[in-house]
Order: sequence, then C-alpha cells, then structure tokens
Amino acid sequence: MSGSIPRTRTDVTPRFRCVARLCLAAALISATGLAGAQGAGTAAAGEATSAPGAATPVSGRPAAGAPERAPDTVAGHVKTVSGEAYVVQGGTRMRAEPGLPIHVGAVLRTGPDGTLGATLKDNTRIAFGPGSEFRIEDFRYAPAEGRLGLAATLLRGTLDFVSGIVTRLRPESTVLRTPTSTVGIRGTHILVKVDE
Amino acid sequence: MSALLPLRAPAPWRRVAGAVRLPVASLLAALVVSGCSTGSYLVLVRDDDGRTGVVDVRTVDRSVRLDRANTGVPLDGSATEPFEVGEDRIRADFGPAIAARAAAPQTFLLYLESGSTKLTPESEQLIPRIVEAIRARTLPGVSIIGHTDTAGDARANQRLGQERAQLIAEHLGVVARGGAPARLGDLRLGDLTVTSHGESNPLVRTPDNTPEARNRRVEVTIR
Repeated sequence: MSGSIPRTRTDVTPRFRCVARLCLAAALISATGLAGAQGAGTAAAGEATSAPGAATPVSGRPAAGAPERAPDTVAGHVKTVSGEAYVVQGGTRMRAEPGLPIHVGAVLRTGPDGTLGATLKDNTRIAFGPGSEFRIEDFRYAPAEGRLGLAATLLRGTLDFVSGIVTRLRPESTVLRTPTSTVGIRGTHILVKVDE
Repeated sequence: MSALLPLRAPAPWRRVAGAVRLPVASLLAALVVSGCSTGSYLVLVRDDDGRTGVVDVRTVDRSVRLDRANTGVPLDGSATEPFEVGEDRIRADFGPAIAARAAAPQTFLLYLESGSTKLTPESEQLIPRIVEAIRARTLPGVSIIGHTDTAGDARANQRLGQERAQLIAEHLGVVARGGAPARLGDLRLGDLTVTSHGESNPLVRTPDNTPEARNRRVEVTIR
C-alpha cells in the first residue's frame, strides 16, 4: 500500500508531461492549419465579392491597416524594455525594443538584469522580471469568427499578468502553464514566480 | 558511527544537532539574500480598478482556487489552502516585473448614424481628444475596430465595419503606406490595425435585423 503512492506519482508525471506536449504540438499544428485556411478563405471571399462587379474600394483599403506581412499571427507588441531582453521567433533571436511585434509561438527572454513588458492585441498585459523565459503557444483574438484563446507557459522567472478581452469574453479559454502547474485565469491580475 | 547515535545519549545528539545547524543557517541566509524567495508560487492581486479576479491553480494531484487579493499558492502542489502574501514579499519578488508593466490601454467609442459612415456630432468632437491621447504616449499602438448593429446582411455589415474603421483612421490622420511605419503626422506609431468585427461583437446583444445605435460604433484603442 505505502509503495503505491510514489509509484502513481512517477507514473502520472511523465505521462502528464507527454500528453501536455502532444496537446501543445497538436495546438501548434492546428493553429498553423487554421491560419492557412483563414488566409485562403479570406482571399476566396474577396474574389467572390469583387467578381460580380460590385467591386468596392474596400478590398484595396485594408493594406493601410496591415503594415506587417502576416498580421494574423501577431499576438502583440513589446512596450517596455530595460537591460537585456530578447524575442525568439521564426528561428531568429531579436533584441527586444518597444514596437517589436510578437508572433504566436514566440519565446520571450530576459537576461540577468533585463525586464520586458508587452501588450497583446486584446489588451492582455504581460511583464517580466530578470531571468525570465515565457512561451506564447496560442493566441486567437477574432471574435467575428468565434476564435478566442490564450495559452502560454512561464518556464522560469517572474511574470506580472493582467488579463484582457479574450479572458473576459471566454474565461475558460485562457490557460497559463508553469513546469509544475496549470493555471485557469478568470481574471484579472496575477503574479507568478517560477524557480528552476 | 551509528553506535554514537542512540537517542538516550545526550552528548552525541547535541553534537549532531550542532553539525546540522550550520548548513541550515547558511541556507536561510542565502534565501534572505536572494530576496526571501522560496520556490515557485502564484499570487492573486487587485487590478487597476481595485477589483480581484479568480484563478484556479492545478498541480498533478490537486486544485486550489484563489479569489482574495494578496493570497498565493505554491506551484509544486504542496498546499491545499492559499497563504497570505504581504506587500514586502511581492515587492521583493516581483518589483522589476511590476515596473516593466505597460501602461493600461485606453479605449474610446465613436458612434455613427444608421447605415452610414457619418459620425454623430458628439463623436465628431471626441476626435481631437483621441489624437491628444495618442500623442501622450511614446511609440503608441493604435487599433481601430469597426462594428455594426444586426440590421442587414452579415457580410455587408463586415464591409460596413471596415469602411467605418477606415473613415475613423482618416479622421484621426493615422496612415501606413507601403510597409513604412504607421504615423500620426510626425509621430511614429508602434503599430496600427484597422479592422472590422462586423455585427458579431455587439456592445448590446440583440436579435438579428435589429437597429441599435449603441452597436453602430468604432472602438479606438491606444496601447
């Protein structure tokens, strides 16, 4: 009997992690799939509306509001930086500076004396103290298509988190993970510290 | 060695306790130096409006709910009840993260006449105040989202929302051309989004095909 408790724990932990990783992989794959399908759908609809000759100048206009190449995957922007801080995304590591776009899938890192603050498109605010690492696994803010969600992991360091519109519209869709826990956030302001 | 450790022998017992005390003391000192941080934990705090939310912290074999400000829970699953977290500890552990937090986003609502892209007179007057708020920030991010009521076809409303958002962008004088950074006059913007949520994100829920002045709006958010 006494041996069954530790055995259950060692059983559950790796399996839980494995399942979590599989879920993450699935989420990433479906997110990229969705983004692709989304783009295709928009293009098709644009063609369909312009074909009958009911062409409006609207299709040419969104360019003014879409300065980034892939605005669909932009989750937010860096707002504050001090010391060393980086955004790792698309295979490159960029020094963080105010205005730098943060894409879904990005990893944010701060050095031993660095801090970073960012605001996501739904007004969620995230800020980090020194020695932090944070991964944005999923961010969807398209209420018109019913797509809402935020999933991220604080791997180490300190986080100041203020929830935004995604959490307000669909509280169960906001999930923050740490190496040992899963946090369901229904609002609004939390502080998290992860020691290695 | 084990012969020296029977419980009834007071002298060796004291010697063992003394040997243990030194590492414990230096460990405690190390913890104090490192900002009294003992492991991973989460604290729920008040938001800017003085309200407190709710979080559920799940570890492998338990779940703890926090719904009072300045209560925390360790993230290793070692506690079933929240503990109090004082301001001193919050400052020691989270001071730099708190200082890095971006300013709260500001949202303005502009209203339009039914079926049109014409602003109501009150909203027209709000334009200079929005410009001022944008100029008050360094490298501001601006998002302009057009919304409609549920009167008429959803696809037409999606287009109308986009036209409304575009109209407000022109009123405010924000521009982004040819991949260059967006600007408001001589001020560089951190980012600019001009988009539509059509009839799908109403401020006031209504049945379909319902004219509702409060839903015919453009939201301008400054971050």
